[in-house]
Amino acid sequence: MAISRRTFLLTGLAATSGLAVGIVFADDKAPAMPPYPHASATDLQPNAWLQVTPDNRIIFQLHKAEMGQGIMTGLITVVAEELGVAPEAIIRQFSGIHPAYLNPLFHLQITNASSSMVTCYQPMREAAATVRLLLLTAAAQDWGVPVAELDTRDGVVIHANSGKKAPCGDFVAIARGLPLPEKPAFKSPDQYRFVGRYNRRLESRDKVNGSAKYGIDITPKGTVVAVVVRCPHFGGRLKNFNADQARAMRGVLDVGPIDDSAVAVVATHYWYARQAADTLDIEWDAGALKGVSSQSIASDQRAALDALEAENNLPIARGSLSVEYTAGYMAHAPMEPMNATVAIDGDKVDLWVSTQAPDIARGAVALSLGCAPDRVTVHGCYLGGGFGRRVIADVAADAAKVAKRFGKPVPVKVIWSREDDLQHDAYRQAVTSRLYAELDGAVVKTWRYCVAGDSLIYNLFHVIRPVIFPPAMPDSEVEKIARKKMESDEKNLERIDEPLYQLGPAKVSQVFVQSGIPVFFWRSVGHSFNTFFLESFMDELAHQAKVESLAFRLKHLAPDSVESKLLKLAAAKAQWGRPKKGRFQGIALEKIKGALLAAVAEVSVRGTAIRVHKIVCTVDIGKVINPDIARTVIESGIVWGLSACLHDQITIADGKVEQSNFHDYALARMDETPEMEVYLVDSERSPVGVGESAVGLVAPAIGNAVFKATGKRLRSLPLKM
Amino acid sequence: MVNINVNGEEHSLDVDPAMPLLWALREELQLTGAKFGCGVGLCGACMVHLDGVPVRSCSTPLAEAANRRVTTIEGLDSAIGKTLQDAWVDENVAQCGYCQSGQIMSAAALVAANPQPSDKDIEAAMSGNLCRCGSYQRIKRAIHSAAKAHASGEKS
Ligand code: FES
Ligand code: FES
Repeated sequence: MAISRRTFLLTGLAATSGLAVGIVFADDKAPAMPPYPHASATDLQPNAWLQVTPDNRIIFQLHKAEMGQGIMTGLITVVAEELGVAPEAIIRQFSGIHPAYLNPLFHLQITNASSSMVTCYQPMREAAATVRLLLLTAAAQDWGVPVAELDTRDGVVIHANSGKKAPCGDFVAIARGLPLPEKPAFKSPDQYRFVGRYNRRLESRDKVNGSAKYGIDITPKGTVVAVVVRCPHFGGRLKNFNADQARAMRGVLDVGPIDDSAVAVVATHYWYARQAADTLDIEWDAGALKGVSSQSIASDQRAALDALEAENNLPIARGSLSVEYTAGYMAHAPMEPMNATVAIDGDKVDLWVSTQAPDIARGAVALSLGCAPDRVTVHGCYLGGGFGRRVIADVAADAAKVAKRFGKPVPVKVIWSREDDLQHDAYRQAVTSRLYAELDGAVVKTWRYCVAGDSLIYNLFHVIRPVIFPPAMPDSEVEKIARKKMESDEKNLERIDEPLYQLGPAKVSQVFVQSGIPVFFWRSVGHSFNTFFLESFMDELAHQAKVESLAFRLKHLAPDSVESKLLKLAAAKAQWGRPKKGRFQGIALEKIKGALLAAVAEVSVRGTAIRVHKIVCTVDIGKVINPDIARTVIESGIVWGLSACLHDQITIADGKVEQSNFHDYALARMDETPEMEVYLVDSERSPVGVGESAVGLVAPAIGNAVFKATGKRLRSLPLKM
Repeated sequence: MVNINVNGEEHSLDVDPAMPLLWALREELQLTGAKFGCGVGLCGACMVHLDGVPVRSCSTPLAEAANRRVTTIEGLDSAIGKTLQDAWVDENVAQCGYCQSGQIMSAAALVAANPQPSDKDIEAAMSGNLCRCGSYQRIKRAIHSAAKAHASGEKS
């Protein structure tokens, strides 16, 4: 257990807006621009996303992971609008890796942090407007008419005055020779045909007839399948193993260690490999986390908070409120189990993997094989869920190591079981937080927050090691940098750094208690617990001040703010204060990645069973591109949040995870999913991402309703009566 | 050798008869519509029909399917199957989509047996199918609208 602590002052609202920014590397220089991976000698390709072929096809390269959040439809809707073609007329391809595709917030080719729409909206419009203007300029030259008299619609260039028409493809050859326009004009919103209206998920058909290919579905010819048995204790090691029985089993091709904590079994079929793996007789060295449990981690966190408080020596005012909240570990558990396929052919390597970060996966494979990253080609596909989990390239590294060990020029597919997935995830961090506030009548005068838990940024630097550090860098050096980076980790303070309410000056402290349990970004990250803590605490303060909980919140918000409008709208839509008989309501507010949301939950409690009947959610996500898809993703966030606060929990005993499959890591099922109403409000703000919205909002809305129903204040996640 | 009929085609498979049907479909026949989610009958991602009855193919030994009719999502061409797929598209059900083959196979068996299911019927039939993306409310709506369309003969 390592500890590092820091305290600072928050004065007023969002005083620390610089906090939640991404990683910026010291050697941050403009990358060189190699040719596009899909470069063509005959097509119009003025940018990395769009291409028009002489036979009039428009092709879009999707550089983002489509993992359910709808970004494929979102980005194509934006380009379709500027091009004047229907989104479904555009051919969709998964892009390769290229510097043009780097996420400007993170300097990696990564789909994360609800950042795609925020960072791509403008570039996509420009990319499409450029293509359109080049085609129009080429047609204008060819026909000898002014550009301003031309338009494109549905793949055709039109000269309205003369009635002349020709397919866009006819102008590709001329357009290829034209200089790039500086500032192509965008369509004005009153001309929009698709943005704000287009409600069809483009890949839906493939996802209902079984033809959509996820990583696990891709089986190049000759593929062999491997399973990996990894030490169940974090930080443990392989001592020895006996594989005599396994080696003799049907279909088994190879058994052996792939690193110091894992044994792989290669077979012709997954099931043969799995059967053989179950017979392995392995002795593990449990390592440094032997004896570590969820309880010991929580008590380390408490002790660290005690020390922090003693050090800060803060006075406790009379009539103040001081409470402790906690949250446990969570697994991502995307529906598609972890898998990756690696084929080594001479010095050429192919990788097929469902990933949120192809360059991290490529780097991890290159590092495992000891080759240059540019030897590795990553092939795109759909992701059966990501939620942060698929930023980590552990399974890609596994596949590379097995392929190297196996040593034959055939593709090797590694498939983790659900048990592997739940026991070898990097989890949502467990934290303990203390909140304190002083009231002046019914108004919060000042408040404090301190949190103890693991550092995500520390773990992040280990995850992105293959892309940002030279391969030869010793582990000790990586470790040193990761520890240093921890100092700028504000992830455990998300939402606290922007409380939304006017609560007067705050003193915020954090202490990192490094448990050794791997932790990582989990859908909504720090918001997943801090929204619960702060919004429950607001209700506690309202109760103490004897003010109704919605009125108390509004008292601490500017009257005409978006926040108060959303709260009032949610209250109106949910008939706040008039729940059905036997039901109770709770309310909460959230801001995540620029999205603002309010929710009212309607709940009943019978014995220890919490039943959620209805959730009404009001949302401002800026200009909406695909309204119904945004609604589906918010519904998804609600169900995720419900699952997390009523069911899921990963617990640790003796340095390993106690849960193994969906019987003991239960997810919400249809029969417990509440009725959901989602209202998107009109907004002129630039569009923001919605992938993590609503997740954090659900637990406090439910917890606050439970308090009304029972008088019992729940201060731990998951919620237990 | 195990003989099975999948989506109307006869196959003779030279694998261990104890191999779960799921892996035989995916790795021997390259039918990847049925998905691996948990491997132990807890999630429904691997749902197929055996003589029209929904089964979890991860927990069904290949031998049990011998000389019987297996239908996977790729071969779901009944009128109700098609109507459900259309309703799934119209209601924007699929998000990541990974669970949806299994959801649709469960729904198709439900509506075939119970053409006008109530909310409760749907919940009872569908609660064995997990969706990590939380598409449940949409699934319910899609089943209702497909059942309605099917009954009124719009699409059948
Ligand atoms: S994979 Fe068969 S029920 Fe989960
Ligand atoms: S749509 Fe993703 S698991 Fe159901």
